[in-house]
Amino acid sequence: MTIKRHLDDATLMSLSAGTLGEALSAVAAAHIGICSQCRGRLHEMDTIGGVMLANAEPNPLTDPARFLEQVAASRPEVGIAPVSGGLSRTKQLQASDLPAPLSWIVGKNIADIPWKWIGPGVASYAVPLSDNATSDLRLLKVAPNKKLPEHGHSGAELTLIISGAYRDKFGVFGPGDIADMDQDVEHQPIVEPGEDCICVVAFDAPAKFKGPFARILQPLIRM
Amino acid sequence: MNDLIRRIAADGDPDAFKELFEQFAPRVKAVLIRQGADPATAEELAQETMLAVWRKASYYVEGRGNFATWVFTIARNLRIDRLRRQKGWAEIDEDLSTHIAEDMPPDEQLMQTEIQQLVGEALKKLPPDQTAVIQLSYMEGLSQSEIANKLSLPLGTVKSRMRLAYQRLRSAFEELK
Repeated sequence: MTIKRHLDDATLMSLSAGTLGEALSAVAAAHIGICSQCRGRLHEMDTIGGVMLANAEPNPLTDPARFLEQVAASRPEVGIAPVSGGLSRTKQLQASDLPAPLSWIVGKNIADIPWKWIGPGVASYAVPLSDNATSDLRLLKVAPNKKLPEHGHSGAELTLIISGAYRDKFGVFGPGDIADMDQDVEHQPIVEPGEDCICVVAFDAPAKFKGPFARILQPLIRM
Repeated sequence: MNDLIRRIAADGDPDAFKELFEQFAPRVKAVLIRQGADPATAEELAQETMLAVWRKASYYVEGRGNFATWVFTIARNLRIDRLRRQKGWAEIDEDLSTHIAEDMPPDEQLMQTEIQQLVGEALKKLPPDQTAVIQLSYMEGLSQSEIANKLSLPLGTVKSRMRLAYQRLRSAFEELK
């Protein structure tokens, strides 16, 4: 698989900071699992996060003594050598033939997905997310040569091609490629001849800490 | 720091753990509070983060990735996990970090401490508008559109400031190559 279309730096930075919503994170992480180029950039962004954490102003814990005693009474896990050879561990954990983490979230092989036809040549499956999710994750299966209506993007949206390919004004998007478009971009994808194009699309909004205490404190802390 | 983590991995040394704990737990707690967690939740997650460091010390291989980066990814994943209340999601990136580390060429592995210093210096030299955007993202946990609202900027401007900040910080990594 030759991946030609990658994640935007701004998207990667939000993924690294942990501020992408559930659906966008899942799609971005699935691309990262198969794309060493984006993986390398994410690692640099995580390093930036690590440096910022190391330089953050500390806030002492109220009573760490008890916790430290409990930890001292336990033993660390005995060393198991990290799995070598790229993504083998991820592959072992895979629950389906979709790339991780979509594999675990969807929990089904592509052949077993209960597609719903939403128009001629277009089938969709809405992937269930966590209760707190404010995002939308769906698989789409579009027939060869099918032209989708021209559309813009109202919010953050990521599309990962699982199989097949489509073409729009930006070129051809094939397996492993990710379409990370700015919201003001309009395009009209046409599926390439030969096979269905299966892709996973995420629309998103981020999760927030809930509870009255957090809400009261949040404005004060942010000042 | 690598000496401390080695002592935990090899001997389960609680004194070594205490030193790392004192350095990182209060910072993880502080950042989580800035991201909207109440103090009790922040403290609990900071302890969980450090407990993962204790338990998984032997998986952390010295020189393969920066220690602070490792703590950062653990804390981030625990926070995301808590926000989604769904186990399984959070483990992805820790796995990925291991793979990333394996991908790295050996000479790059040796320079992690220098990377930390260079990135720290580069962060201080960022233009204020870029600093604001990455602070709000990493430290306050705001999404791109929340940053845009807070700073009264178009979303596109927030994104381009993120990209510019990364390009500048990136030169710190490039210096070592």
